[in-house]
Amino acid sequence: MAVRSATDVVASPALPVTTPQVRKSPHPFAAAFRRTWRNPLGLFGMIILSLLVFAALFAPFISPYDPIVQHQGKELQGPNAQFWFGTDELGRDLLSRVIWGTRPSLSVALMVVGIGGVLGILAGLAAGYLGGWADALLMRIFDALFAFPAILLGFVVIAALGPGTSQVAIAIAIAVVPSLGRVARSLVLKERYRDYVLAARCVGAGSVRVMLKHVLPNAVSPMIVNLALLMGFAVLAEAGLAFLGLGTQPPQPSWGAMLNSSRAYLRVDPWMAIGPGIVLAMLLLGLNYLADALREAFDPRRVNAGL
Amino acid sequence: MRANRAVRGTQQRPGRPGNGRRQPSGTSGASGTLASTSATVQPAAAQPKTGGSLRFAQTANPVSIDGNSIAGGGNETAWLVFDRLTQYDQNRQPQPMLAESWDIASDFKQFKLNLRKGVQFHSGRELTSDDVKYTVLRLRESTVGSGILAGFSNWFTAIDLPDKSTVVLRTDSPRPTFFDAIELFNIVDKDNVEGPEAKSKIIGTGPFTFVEWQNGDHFTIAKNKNYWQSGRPYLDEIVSYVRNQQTMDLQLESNGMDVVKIPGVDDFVRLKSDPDYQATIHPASGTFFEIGFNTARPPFDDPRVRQAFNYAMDRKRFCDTIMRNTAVPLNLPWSATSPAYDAAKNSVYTYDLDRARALLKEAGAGTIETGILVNGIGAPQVLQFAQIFQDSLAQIGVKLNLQNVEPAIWVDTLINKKPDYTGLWGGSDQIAQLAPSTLFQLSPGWRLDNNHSAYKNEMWTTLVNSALSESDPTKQKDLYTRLNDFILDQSFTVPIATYPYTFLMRANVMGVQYQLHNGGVSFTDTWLA
Amino acid sequence: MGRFIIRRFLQAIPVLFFSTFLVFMVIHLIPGDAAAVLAGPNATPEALAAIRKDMGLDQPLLVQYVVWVTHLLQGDLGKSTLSGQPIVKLLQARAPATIELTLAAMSISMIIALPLGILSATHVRGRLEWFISTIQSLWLAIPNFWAGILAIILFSLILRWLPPGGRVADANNMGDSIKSLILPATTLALYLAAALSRFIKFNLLEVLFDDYVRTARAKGVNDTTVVYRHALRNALLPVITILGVQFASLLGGTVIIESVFSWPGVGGLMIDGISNRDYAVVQGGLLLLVMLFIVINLLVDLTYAVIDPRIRLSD
Repeated sequence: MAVRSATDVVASPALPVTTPQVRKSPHPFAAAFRRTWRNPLGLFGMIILSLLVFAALFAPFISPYDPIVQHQGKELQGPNAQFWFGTDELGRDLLSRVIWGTRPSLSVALMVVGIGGVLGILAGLAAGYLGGWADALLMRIFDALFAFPAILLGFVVIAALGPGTSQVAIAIAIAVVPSLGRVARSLVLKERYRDYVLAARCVGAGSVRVMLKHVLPNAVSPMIVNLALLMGFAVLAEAGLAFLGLGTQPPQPSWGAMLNSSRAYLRVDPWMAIGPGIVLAMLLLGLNYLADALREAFDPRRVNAGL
Repeated sequence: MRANRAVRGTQQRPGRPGNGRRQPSGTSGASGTLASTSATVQPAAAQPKTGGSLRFAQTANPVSIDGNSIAGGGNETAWLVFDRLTQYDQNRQPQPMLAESWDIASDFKQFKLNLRKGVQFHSGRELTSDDVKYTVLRLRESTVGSGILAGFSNWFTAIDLPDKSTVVLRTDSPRPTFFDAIELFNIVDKDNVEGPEAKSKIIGTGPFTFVEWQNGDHFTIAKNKNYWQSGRPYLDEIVSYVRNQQTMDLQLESNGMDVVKIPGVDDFVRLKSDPDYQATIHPASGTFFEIGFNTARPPFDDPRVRQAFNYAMDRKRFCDTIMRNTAVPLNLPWSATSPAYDAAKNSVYTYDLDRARALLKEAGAGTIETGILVNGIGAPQVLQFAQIFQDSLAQIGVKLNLQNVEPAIWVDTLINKKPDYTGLWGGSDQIAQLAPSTLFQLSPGWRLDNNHSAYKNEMWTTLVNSALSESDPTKQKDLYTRLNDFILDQSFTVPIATYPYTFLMRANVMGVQYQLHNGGVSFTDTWLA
Repeated sequence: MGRFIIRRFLQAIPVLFFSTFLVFMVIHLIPGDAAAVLAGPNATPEALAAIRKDMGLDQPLLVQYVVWVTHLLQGDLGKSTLSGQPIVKLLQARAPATIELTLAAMSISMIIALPLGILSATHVRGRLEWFISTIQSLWLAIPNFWAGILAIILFSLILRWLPPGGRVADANNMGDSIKSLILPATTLALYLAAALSRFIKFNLLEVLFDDYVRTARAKGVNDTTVVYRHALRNALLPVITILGVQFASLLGGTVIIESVFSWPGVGGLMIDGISNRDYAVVQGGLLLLVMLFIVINLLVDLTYAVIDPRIRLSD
């Protein structure tokens, strides 16, 4: 008779039944992460990220001065013994401002991933799993949002909400929900017709339970790569919007805003542009490397081919 | 071509021909005949050459090219297409423009203007007194301009046109500052303004004709070959660009621009000593930075608190570090050309934190937390001052939060009080170079009705109204002294420093005129060496 | 195929409609309005109110929306709320700058990205690939406005080879016109190229591991032919999609570069419009951009479907 499942084989009397020794295979996430930090680029990315997160968390302790305090008479200095990165036009220490600048950049990145990520994934889940009119409606809304030039959308949302760090995060999150939603939806669509889903539904599991318990975990792993890239995009977008004058308001330091003010002083004090620019680039580099490494780590073909 | 003598209270100086001499920035130049109604800053020896195209750049973008619009950015663009009836010289003496001569009644309630004959609009039509009447009446429409000019226009309760080149304006109350008003009246062409092309083409009688406007990028004008000042203008064409500060400075230095208005402060200071460039500050722009308080809300209803804040303003630091000494601290708004200017009173409020603390204590204010509404895009210097101010105030126990909003919101909040703000506001202001009553009439920081600081006071109203109608110079002096003392004492709107209108020009640009309206320049006498 | 086209087309209509609603609501819900900008800081409240009425801004939002859409359906994009100039003219004046910049940037980016992507894919794990990949990542990490500023300093200020901004568009002066285009287009292109070359590399890699390639290799076909004849063609298909999407999004997305280089394009028009609350300009402009995006996407999808039959059958 045709062999339809493993149970057929095992139960068939013609074959000897032995239970092979199988080592418990590691959880796929753990395995993927181990692959990530074995990858030198991934390791590099994680180190950079950790450094910057550390700086953000412990800014009050590691920055040499208060970033808002104006040291009168010491404006526009280049790097020296007292101020390692020099000072800005109001006499504020640039090193401290760069360190504290990790906070808005990282918090915006996290908020965007959090808000946008959650919304996008949920929307994509709903669209992909529920199908029908829910899918059609959501997809049309996504298409319309997606067709909006992202930066103009951000501009408009911030104009409506007012400037500020969280408002910037919301603006960027709104801009990324459509693309995240689309990716999530296509992943869900791929999973939806898989055997295990059909099996679960045969057993009587409800839609939501199936979605959350079965489909979501499998769909999420490829999403992680997207989320890492998303963080990079969010950091860049925040800097871009701050550069255009929106975002974190003075006197709070933010890399994008610092780069914007540096434009007026490029000839007098180029250091105002160098510090934040380099750190911004480092953060983005780290995130990109991490995303690359994650992508390689989660790519089943590379994994299976032993590469 | 001289003004009439039947005028009491103003003096006419005989004109001196020739160009003015080189002036240090900050003082005014010689008055004179029409050919030199300016403080030029180049040596008089050279002979003007005709021809050439001038490339002018500024950061302000005019939102409207209507000649009667007073929205920003218009001075070196649309206003060059028009003429006004008279034009002030550097000593605030009116010089003939479209009006050749005038008769002013001794009670300042009747003004007779004799128009120049043979002046043509760019369309070929001849200018008549009807056009003057049309313009004055048009200014009353609130949708044109922004109501300020309407205020002036409404002075004139009757406008008679005895013939095609005479206009008689009558007012109810005495208006000794008549010339301040007509300094701003661009005479427009009815056919143009009411015609189909009104928004895309403008026609005036001015030295330059309209060629093209690409909103947000550039505005092009060409020489008016039939200009009534024969031999003028010298230039063939002027293109006014809208550029951001760094780009236009760089373009100036790579010979891509000839004149730049309000360049970056550091570039200005750096090129001052460079012989290839001229770095000038408009001698009488009358522009300044100011901060006001919402006097309707505690604790700012108490003048002692306001004075305390005034003592906490580190003006010197602002002028030194942010403005690199191109700006000068102010306690009173007036520039040197204003009759109310008082050098001594300008340093009453020194930077004195102890005094500030004492005043706060006396007023029983305790710790204060409040906000300041600024428009960082329109007035970035005020935003920077606000950060200095924040720092200073922190030392006397006041927490100042910065509310940096967009121009549209700033305007709406302050004019309509929507949403109501409770603290301070900061911005830039102008027209402090003319008669003080003009400032009190026009400026939203100082006017009687609905000023940004919500300030209402009987004494203030009386003083301002007297200033508007007082014509005797001795009485005026006394009035201004009282006004100045009042302003200093009440501190409801507080000037910080001058807002210098700086210009960077290539060395070969000659004959730029600094006008007495809105810190603008005119290029009628300009030529390229 | 016909059904596919019709279906796609029908799907686009509600998107378009929803977009008009989105575009309109979004700009009107921002506090502060055009009347405040025109009136200026010196206005009296009465003047402000009068101007507002004159602009029709005192009507309920829904009424204003209906009025706008009615005009739209008649092909009338309206006039700028502030300056009264016809929006079509404004867009016509600014669009060539953006299109020029976009096309130039994309061309330069393709020229750089194609060889880089192919080289990376064929030399995977080699020193060359590592080098290219590092440069790519670095370039992606540098914010393009920062790169723009540094480029201006180097090429305009120090070397004086190129102008620091502004656009020259004179047919009689091709030299200056091209010179003014180089810096902004290249700054934009380098960023695009980094992303594009990675995309090409990944796609090519995927294809190179695909069965049919292995078959070709097993058959003994030499590597170069494999890459260029078999793999590349298939790998490039998604690239077309990306290019189409890039072009469409660049049309509205060149805002920052336009700001850095004072390039008088549509992005700057939109930003000024939003700051000035020039509703008509923003509505008209955004709608145009959105429409273009949808149309281009549609075309790309159709092209894709024509080339790859699996797409049109599976949808």
